[in-house]
Amino acid sequence: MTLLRRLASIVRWIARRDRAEQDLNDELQVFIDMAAADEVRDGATAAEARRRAALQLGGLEQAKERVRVGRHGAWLDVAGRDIRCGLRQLRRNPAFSAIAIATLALSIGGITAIFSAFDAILLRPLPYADADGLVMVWDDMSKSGGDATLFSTPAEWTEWRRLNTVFTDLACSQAGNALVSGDGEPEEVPARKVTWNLWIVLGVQPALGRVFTEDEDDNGARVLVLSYGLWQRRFGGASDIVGRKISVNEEAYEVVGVMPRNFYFMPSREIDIWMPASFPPDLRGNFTWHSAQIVARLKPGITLEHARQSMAALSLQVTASRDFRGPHSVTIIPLREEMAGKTQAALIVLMWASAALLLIACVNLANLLLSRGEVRGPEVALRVALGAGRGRLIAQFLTECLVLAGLGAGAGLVLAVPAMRFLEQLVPEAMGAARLTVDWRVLAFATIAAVAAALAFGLAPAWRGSRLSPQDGLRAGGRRTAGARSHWFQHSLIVVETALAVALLICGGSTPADFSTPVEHRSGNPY
Amino acid sequence: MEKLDIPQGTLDLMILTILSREPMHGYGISQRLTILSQDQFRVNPGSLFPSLYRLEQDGKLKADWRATENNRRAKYYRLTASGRRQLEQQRERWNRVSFAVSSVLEGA
Repeated sequence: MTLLRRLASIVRWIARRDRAEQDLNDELQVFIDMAAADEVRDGATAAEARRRAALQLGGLEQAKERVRVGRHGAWLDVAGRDIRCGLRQLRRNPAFSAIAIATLALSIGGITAIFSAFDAILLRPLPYADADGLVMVWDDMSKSGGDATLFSTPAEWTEWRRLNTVFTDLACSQAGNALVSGDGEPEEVPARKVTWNLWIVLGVQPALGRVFTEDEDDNGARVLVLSYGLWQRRFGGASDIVGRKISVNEEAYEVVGVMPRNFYFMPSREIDIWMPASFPPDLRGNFTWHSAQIVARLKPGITLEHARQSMAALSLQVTASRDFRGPHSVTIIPLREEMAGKTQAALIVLMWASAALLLIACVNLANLLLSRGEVRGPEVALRVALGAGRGRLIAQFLTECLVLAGLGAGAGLVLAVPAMRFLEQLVPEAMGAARLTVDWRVLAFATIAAVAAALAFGLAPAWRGSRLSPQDGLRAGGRRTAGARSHWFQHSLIVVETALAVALLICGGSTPADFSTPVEHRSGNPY
Repeated sequence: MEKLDIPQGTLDLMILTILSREPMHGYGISQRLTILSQDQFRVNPGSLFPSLYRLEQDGKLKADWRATENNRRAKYYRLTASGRRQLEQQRERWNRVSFAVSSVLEGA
């Protein structure tokens, strides 16, 4: 049977479980009646016949139970019962439950909020084809006392394109402003002047129309590409936008394409217009006009280290006599690192710190549960006496912990939302005003965190709590012999907790430095 | 003579075989099993019903409440197409197993 059909049958069964239960009752009754009728025919008295038939059925309740546990999805039924039982336990100890849920809410909420930022900034794919091969190339002026990440010059770009052996191509972009007017309120929008091959290097396609060509770039054609945002905002998403002439900086430009909604590129998400760089001839030979931001794609199989060495040598050679500041090397930074900037280190520290916090919470809860386990001794002993196996007991204890962690995670998500509003300030400018949201990735993370936490604080108490034999627990006063061992265990938990707290303190001590350093700004001619 | 327990895994095959002749209720199946096995098998309802319910849940059997010849209501089970296929497969398998086992026993 396929998994899907099996699943459907489980769902169907659960949906009409009460009727199925009634069915089973009736059916077994019919069985007894028929068996009894046969016995009577064979000469037994009615009462005797009924007794024998019931005997044959091997105990009505046992037979029913065997049918129940033999069905697919029976574990769901058991889990449901354990969850209800867990909730009852929580209601019975409101103080404990409140403390446990609050602790979990704070720690799971914290780590979830930080994960959402971690995910948005460091994990999510950048909107370029094979973004791992993309690097930024800066002039390294540190030898002459300058900036290690200075803008390059269009002249260097030209030479590097001609002579390098490590990149499939390099593209260049410069700051530019665009005053859009003519068809409404004049509006100043952020723009970039980019070389025609930027789109090829990044491996992106426009959503509508095309991007400009090498010829258009060389000849200074009046063409441009719009951002999705500007297209929607100013032009109402008009479907005939491609080919339209719009007035930019008092000149008529033809719109040739619109970029996809999720496209953005350095230096910020806010760029609304891309137009051809169209370097004038004098700029192409000028090695002192540092105005170009350069992105390049590594050739397949070329490592970052190889590219660094090769480009350093090339740059020294190219600038040997042409830059009045003297020959200089280059700095190559992977695009992801460039965009995440200082945030990367801060996020990693925060992630570890919140994991340590969650672990401390788990250790605390484990301790509380261990103490409570002693109180619950008689209850457990009763279950053991009634035939509950150890596996069942552990499953039930762990289900209780999962209920606790689930409630904690739910409350934690509520707390995470305002925390995410705060963390949004961490999103680097290059990625723009990304909203951190509780999406399925964040939800999945919270779920995993909750399950991991439940196992972390629940396993030891479940193991210990299920170990006692019936006599131990039922003995008056519940005095137990496991004393020495349990104290040893609880003491070691306290040691772990202290160690984690110290680690957290060290993390905390090193974090402010990461945050207080302002994001360093690239220097160079503003153009 | 003491009655035999039904060998692991063969109860489903026997239930399917019995139901392939005609639809039947639980008590009928257990009676039929006793008679057909020459009174050798002890058919405990505590294992008959779990099998019936699982086969029904798997779609091998379909059940509905009907009147018996004595005008009582009982739950009758009948084979579905998928149950018939399972019967053929299990039967073929059983034939091979029993042939193999008896070959070994006789050859030794």
